[in-house]
Amino acid sequence: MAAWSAYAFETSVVYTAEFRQPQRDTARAIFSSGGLCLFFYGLGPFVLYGVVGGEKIQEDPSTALVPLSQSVFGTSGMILIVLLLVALLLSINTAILGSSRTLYQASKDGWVFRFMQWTSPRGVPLRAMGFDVVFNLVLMLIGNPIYILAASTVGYMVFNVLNLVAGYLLRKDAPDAERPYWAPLTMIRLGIVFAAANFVFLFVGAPSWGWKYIGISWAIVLFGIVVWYWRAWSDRRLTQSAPVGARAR
Amino acid sequence: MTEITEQPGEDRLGPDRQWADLRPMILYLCVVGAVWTLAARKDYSWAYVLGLVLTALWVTGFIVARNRPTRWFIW
Repeated sequence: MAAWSAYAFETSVVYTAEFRQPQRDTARAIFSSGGLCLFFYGLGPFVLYGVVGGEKIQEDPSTALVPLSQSVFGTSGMILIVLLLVALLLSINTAILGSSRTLYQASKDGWVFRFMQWTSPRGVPLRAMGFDVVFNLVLMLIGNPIYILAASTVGYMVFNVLNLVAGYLLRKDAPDAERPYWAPLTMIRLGIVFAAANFVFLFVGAPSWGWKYIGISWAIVLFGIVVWYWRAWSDRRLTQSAPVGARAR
Repeated sequence: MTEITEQPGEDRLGPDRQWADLRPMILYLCVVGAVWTLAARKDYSWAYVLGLVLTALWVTGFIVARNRPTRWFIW
């Protein structure tokens, strides 16, 4: 859960292809986001524990920031609560932007449903965003938001492991390929160590959600394999049904 | 609302190509994941130790394969 909450700064690289100077701006985006997260996630627990106290936090950890803002800012603490709500909306926005672009690219690469690569005239992957919203609404209709948290945590950690390994393998396979951003080799190698750490977190942290939720989360994640096979079959069928001239092109 | 589909262009990474058979590594990770799950579910100390050893072995596989056309150990 901590990894799911704290790592999210890497979402800034999702927009690398849209940066004006990716080689310069990607490093700036990832390091400034990471620095901010490191500072605030490091400072937050100490301030919270020091001001609110352990007993109060244990009463209801999900609302522990409310007594903190009231203790520090008094009645004007309500303004901070409003700001926290705005921040929550921004995080939803970020999640939809990041995941829809990921789905869009996955669709272009032939991994997921074909309709997700459709974009608006401004280049916004609207159908991928729509799928994102509908899928999350379905999860919410199940009745407990814990499904969304558990499913997203398992999926997120699985992809963190696979992405870090993929980054290493890509550097070996296509060292000379054109890239928007060229990460230092040391970081690419360190990625394997971080992948191993995330792999351990993925399984050891599972009981915190409860096995029922983890089972459903894995089912959702593994359903991606079914979708991949369906897309591969669908692509093959399209190629076979295309005219001979079109296939040659 | 008008929508467009981006035309498929040339992949900057070159044509799709099978670099190596990654199934042995994926299978290995599934086994290690099962060991970790057992450790977390039953709280067996030996399973935690075994999980750590197997995970360390997985990382070692990349070091062994460095600067070679192989990917992970011999695959």
